Amino acid sequence: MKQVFAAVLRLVVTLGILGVVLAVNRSQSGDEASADTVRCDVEPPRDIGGLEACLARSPRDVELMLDLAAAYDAAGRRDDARAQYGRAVAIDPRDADLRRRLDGRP
Amino acid sequence: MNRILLGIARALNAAYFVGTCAYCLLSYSSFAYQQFIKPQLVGWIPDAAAAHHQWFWLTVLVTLPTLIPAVRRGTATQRVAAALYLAANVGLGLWLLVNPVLLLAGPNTRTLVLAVLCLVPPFALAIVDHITAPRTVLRRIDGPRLFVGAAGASIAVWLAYVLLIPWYLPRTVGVELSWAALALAVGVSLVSHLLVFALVYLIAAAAVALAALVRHVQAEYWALSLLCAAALAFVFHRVVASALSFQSAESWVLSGWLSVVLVAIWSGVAWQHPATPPDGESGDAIDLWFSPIAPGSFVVALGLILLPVIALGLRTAVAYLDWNFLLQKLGVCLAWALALCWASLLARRLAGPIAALSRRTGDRLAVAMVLVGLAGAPAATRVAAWSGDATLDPEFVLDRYSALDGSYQLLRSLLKTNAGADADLYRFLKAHSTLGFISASPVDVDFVDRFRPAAAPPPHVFLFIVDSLRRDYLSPYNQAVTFTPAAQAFAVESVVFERAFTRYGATGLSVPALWTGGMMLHKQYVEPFAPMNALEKLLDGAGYRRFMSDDHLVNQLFRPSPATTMLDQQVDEMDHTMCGTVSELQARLDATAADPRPIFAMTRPLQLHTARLVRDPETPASAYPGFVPGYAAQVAALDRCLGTFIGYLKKTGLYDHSVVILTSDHGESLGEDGRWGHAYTLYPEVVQIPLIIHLPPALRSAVTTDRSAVALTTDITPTLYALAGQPPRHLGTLYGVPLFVPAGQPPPVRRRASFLLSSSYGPVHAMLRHNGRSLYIADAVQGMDLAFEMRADGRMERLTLTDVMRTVNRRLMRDHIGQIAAAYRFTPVP
Repeated sequence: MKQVFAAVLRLVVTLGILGVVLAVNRSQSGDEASADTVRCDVEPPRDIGGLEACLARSPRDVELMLDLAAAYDAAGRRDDARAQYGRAVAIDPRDADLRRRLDGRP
Repeated sequence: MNRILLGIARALNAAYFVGTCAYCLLSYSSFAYQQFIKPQLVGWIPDAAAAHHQWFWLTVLVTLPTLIPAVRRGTATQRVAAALYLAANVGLGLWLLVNPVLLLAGPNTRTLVLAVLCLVPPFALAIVDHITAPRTVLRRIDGPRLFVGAAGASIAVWLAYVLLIPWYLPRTVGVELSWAALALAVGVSLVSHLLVFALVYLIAAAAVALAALVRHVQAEYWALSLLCAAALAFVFHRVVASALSFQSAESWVLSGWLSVVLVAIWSGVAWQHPATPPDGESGDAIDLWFSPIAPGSFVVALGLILLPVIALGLRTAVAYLDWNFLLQKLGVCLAWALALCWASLLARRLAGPIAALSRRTGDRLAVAMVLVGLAGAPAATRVAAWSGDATLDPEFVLDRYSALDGSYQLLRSLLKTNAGADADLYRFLKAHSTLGFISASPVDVDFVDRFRPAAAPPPHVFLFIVDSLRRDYLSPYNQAVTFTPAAQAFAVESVVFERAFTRYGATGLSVPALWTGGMMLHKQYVEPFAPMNALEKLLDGAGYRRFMSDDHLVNQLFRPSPATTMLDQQVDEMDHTMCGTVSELQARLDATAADPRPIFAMTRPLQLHTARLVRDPETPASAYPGFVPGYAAQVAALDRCLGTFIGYLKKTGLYDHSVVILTSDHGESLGEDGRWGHAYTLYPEVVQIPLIIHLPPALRSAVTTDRSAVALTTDITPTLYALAGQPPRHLGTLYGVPLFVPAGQPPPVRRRASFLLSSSYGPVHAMLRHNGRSLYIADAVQGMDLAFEMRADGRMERLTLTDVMRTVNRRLMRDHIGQIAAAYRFTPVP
């Protein structure tokens, strides 16, 4: 009887350890980013303040830079717009469209 | 009968039946059937299948002598068992001669049943082997033997693969690890090995303890056999079946049955010739289990010492033909089995303190190993935080390191499971991918309502879709390339799209999607294909005469037409080359030069395909420094023939009236992180493709384009519509758009658009965004997500994942896949 108990105990402990190991290696990544950050990526705002806030969250988002540059342009802030185009070209210098915008060509 | 001869006879017998099973499973898998079996891409396989019923008699011939002793001298039961087996086999052989079943294999349930049934004969033979085996006396397994075997194997395997790192590091593209990162990874690898082999010990010890409750000592043997079968089934399910896109239930059934049969065959040989331990005493269950390969002490020691060489050999033998590490992982499993075998055999021969270890001490040490293993990952995270070195991020470092250490790579993939949102996403992707047995109706893909008379005759079109051509092996995309002068000259006269991507990794869906001009249901194939074949509609509508290479996709998905001339008809598909095809095309064009109809020519040379490259003679590395020499040599050969053909077009005056397109259906991994080929992956080097389009001068002056905007293979057909004077309408985000617009109009705005890219052969999908700068991959085969971003120099660099990336890309992915399902009225089974 003692031998049976020991064997069953050993089995239970082993299965417990196995369960712990599998649980530790279980990947469960979060995919619920904040709504604001997601909105910046998918449907960015149109106003300068909103775009600047988004760009602060995603500093390498070239499309946000272009939107912001366009907003600056519309507001008459040519130098700020040009700075944004410059940042965008620095990130993606191979993009001819960005270079064209930086050069002020249509 | 001699142990070695018996082993060879059983191995041949098993090879026949397991090979039959493998063939049936590949035929049952719709993508493997459509892409490999049906087009007969590997020449010897159809020959072997055709002679399958005749080969059966060879198995009878090699098995017969091994059973004669039992028939002659066995007990009554043994004689009956052996005779019955032989009689049944003769009957089966005769039946097969009349019914060569393998010729009928295809993606249907009957083939799956055949895959299961064909393992019955070897299983029956294994039972006969057990019945006719001599009586064997076993003793109980010694206390420390199991533990010493497992612990010794863990160290031996870990060391073997770590010793190979200096070999692999300079040969693996894209793995740059600092010494600190390498040390961290090697440490994590060690504790991971200790953890897994300690688990192996604890499970085996528990099984043996339960078996000890039974009076018969042989129960220990059967317990170990059962564990081996379970372990084998787990490996088949996790490593093999998932890579071939088998669904969960059928995967477990097939893996379980195959494992039971293999273990039974092995066990039969073991019982027929039980090994005798050197001390002359009776052996235990471990001795009996390893009897088929029981070597002497010298061989055991030598084997352990040479384990790194064996591991290197196993990996090198299969690396270039691998299916995203599938064969390499099986090679690692073999190395583990050998290490366990040799370490266990050595443990019996060791004396002194090790022999004196009690089982309880073994248990305590094993639990300690597990605890150390569990502490490994958190400790690595702490080390990274403590050092303040961002490059020591464990997830990033260990991902890279696993390209160097095959054993650690396998450990990671076996231990990892997904839960929560991850598991939910991968279930969704699997439910919408590699759809085999669903009935789906085609959708009508009509870029125009009706073909109208064009103002000018449509241009000739020459479409070269070079299978597996990487763009960075062409000088227009990479200044370091010096061996493609023709492509360079062609590019100067053409438009080079700098951000071209395939919609599908691998040929199976990529080429049909190019013809459709859009994404399709993930099935090979929705038929009839004609309603979706927008390219065929254009060729019919604009009155093109066609020259197309005779390959399995054209044969299956294009309707026969009197306007079509097939090229390469006498050439195996894998032997289609640019040179061979354009040479024939030139002759055909010369012979029909008076035909006024516009010309459409299309070919898909396969000379860069991995399966073809391995047949080529080795090219010296010095010939193409910085490039993979065999691949570069074929690109150079292809380039010469492209140049010859462009010269021909110019000489005949066709060039200035032709649209000439050079592209590929997908790229290729050439050693990046240890990967070769393309399999079912969507890594940057697989999805980035060349796309160079030459326009007739008259057309070129009338259109404009944005060559640095994203261009997709699915844009090619709409572009041809536009160039043929049939402006296509926009069919939505799943479909392509013309890459050229009338001069003066703005090119299509795609900067914020998101594009779904998919693997042809597995539940692996990706989102391409930010004008091709960001690529997010969700791989449901390996159960992981990956993100890449294009750097200023054009390289795609791996990123550490963030919640924003996951949230945005996963939502978009579900949305796009859902749109495809809705278009085809497909609802997955919950």
